[in-house]
Parts: sequence; structure tokens; C-alpha cells
Amino acid sequence: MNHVSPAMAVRVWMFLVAATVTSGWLVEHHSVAGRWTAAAVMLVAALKGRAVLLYFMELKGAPRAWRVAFELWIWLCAVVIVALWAVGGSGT
Amino acid sequence: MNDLVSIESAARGSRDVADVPGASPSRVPGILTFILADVLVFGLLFVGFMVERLEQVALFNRSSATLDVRLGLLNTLILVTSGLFVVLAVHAARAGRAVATRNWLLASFIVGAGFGVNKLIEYGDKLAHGVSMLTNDFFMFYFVLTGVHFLHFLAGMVVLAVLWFKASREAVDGPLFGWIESGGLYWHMVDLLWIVIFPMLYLLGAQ
Repeated sequence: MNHVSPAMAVRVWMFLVAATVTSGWLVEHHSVAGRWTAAAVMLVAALKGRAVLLYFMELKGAPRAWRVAFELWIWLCAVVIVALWAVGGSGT
Repeated sequence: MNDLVSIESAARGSRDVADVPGASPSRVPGILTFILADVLVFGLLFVGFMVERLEQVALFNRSSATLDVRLGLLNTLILVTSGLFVVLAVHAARAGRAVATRNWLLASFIVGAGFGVNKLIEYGDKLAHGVSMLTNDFFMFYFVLTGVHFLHFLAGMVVLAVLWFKASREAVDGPLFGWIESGGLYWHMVDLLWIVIFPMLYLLGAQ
């Protein structure tokens, strides 16, 4: 089984930090993504979750069934949240 | 101290889980089953929150806007950083480097503690302003979701502390390794859940 090297883990951490800061920036500068801000933020969250699953939890090297199950979970969460957010509209 | 670590490491060689005696790899699927079941339950809570939100979008957005986004962002940064340190602890344990394992576990615990402090400040602020579970449906979900997550966080902190303690008494690449790896996976779950909870509660109502 291939394990994630410390250098790779640090690169993944840098991505997670950058993605988190980007989410905060998108929310504070709402005009950039406009009404799609929430969808953009959830997409970033799904990518962050996937990075934690594949590299921090090392599912990239785990049996395929585990990887599929967890990846399915994170994408389902993001898709369902965005879909129900879109159905709800802005509420104004 | 580092010299000692590298000598120790060189003497043992870099070991994989498969060749660490007594470190049964079968413990990993066990903890993964537990984590999957746990995140599925959280998934149902996420759906419950979003369905409830459909009925009261304006109220949910107004309530969400009262949350401190910067505190939430800081908590995300804390958990991913603590998560990185756990990855490094597992890496050190796999190589049999006991001192490095303990140091990374301690670093993970100390950084992780920041999440608890932030969360208590946040809860205290909400309660001081008369905001509780009974305020409205948004805050009912807010306190349940973040509260159950907080309990997972506390359990994770206990696990990190126990592993740090045990790593000073047992070989980190012996039977303890399976526990370090499983404890690490559990800690990443706390991180993973927050990665979804934070944007859903704090950012979704961004107007």
C-alpha cells in the first residue's frame, strides 16, 4: 500500500488552507460569484472533504469499495445541499 | 534528540503496516465502518436541516448571518492543521520513531484544543445574547449539529491524549500502531464533518 509522504501531506494541507481562505473571501466579496456564492462554497467544501478522505485518511490507497463509499458520501452531501439550497431560493 | 530519532529510525528501518508485527491491518476496516456509519447519520442531519430550511429560508438566512464567519474559518484552519500533524504522527509511528510520534500527537492536541476554546467562546456569546436551541429552528439545528460534532471533537481529543501517553510506554510500531492509525482516522472524521457543517450553517445564507 502506498502511503502519503509528509511532503505530499503538507501540499494537501496547503490546498486545504488556500481553499478555506478562498471560501471566506468569496463570502466577504459576494459580488464575485453573486448568487452562486453558496454553490461555489459547497463545491470548494466537497473538494476539501475529498482531499481529506484521499490523502489524510489515505483512502487513495485503500480498497476501491472504501474510496467509492466515502467519495459518494461527500459528493452526495454537496449535491443535496446545493440542490435544496437552489430549490429554496433566496428567501427574500 | 533528532539524532537519536534518526538513529532509532535507521536501526528499525522504514516499516509498513503489513510488516509491523501485531499491528493488525484488520483494525482499519473496523474503524472505517464506524466512521462511515457516523458520517451517514450526520448526512441525514444535513438533509433534515436543508429540508427544514426550505420552509423558512429568510429566517434561516437571517439567523446564519448572526454567526461569526471568521471564527468558523479559524476553526476550519485549526482542524486541518491538527489533521496534518496527525498524518505526520502516523508517518513517524510507521517508521518506529517514538519521540517524533509523541511530538506530532502533542502538536495535534494543542492546535486542536484551539477549536474547543473557539467553540466555547461562540456558545458563550450566543447564550449571553439569549440565543439558545429554543430560539428558532435554525438554532435548534445549529446547537444539535455543532453540539454532536463537539462531542466527537472531545472524544478525539481524549484519543489523542491517550495515544500520546501510551506512545511513551509502548513501541509505536508494535500493536499500538493499529490504534494510532485508527485514532488518526477518527480525528480526520472530525475534520471532515466540520468541512461540511461550517459552510452549510455559516455560509449558505450569504446574500
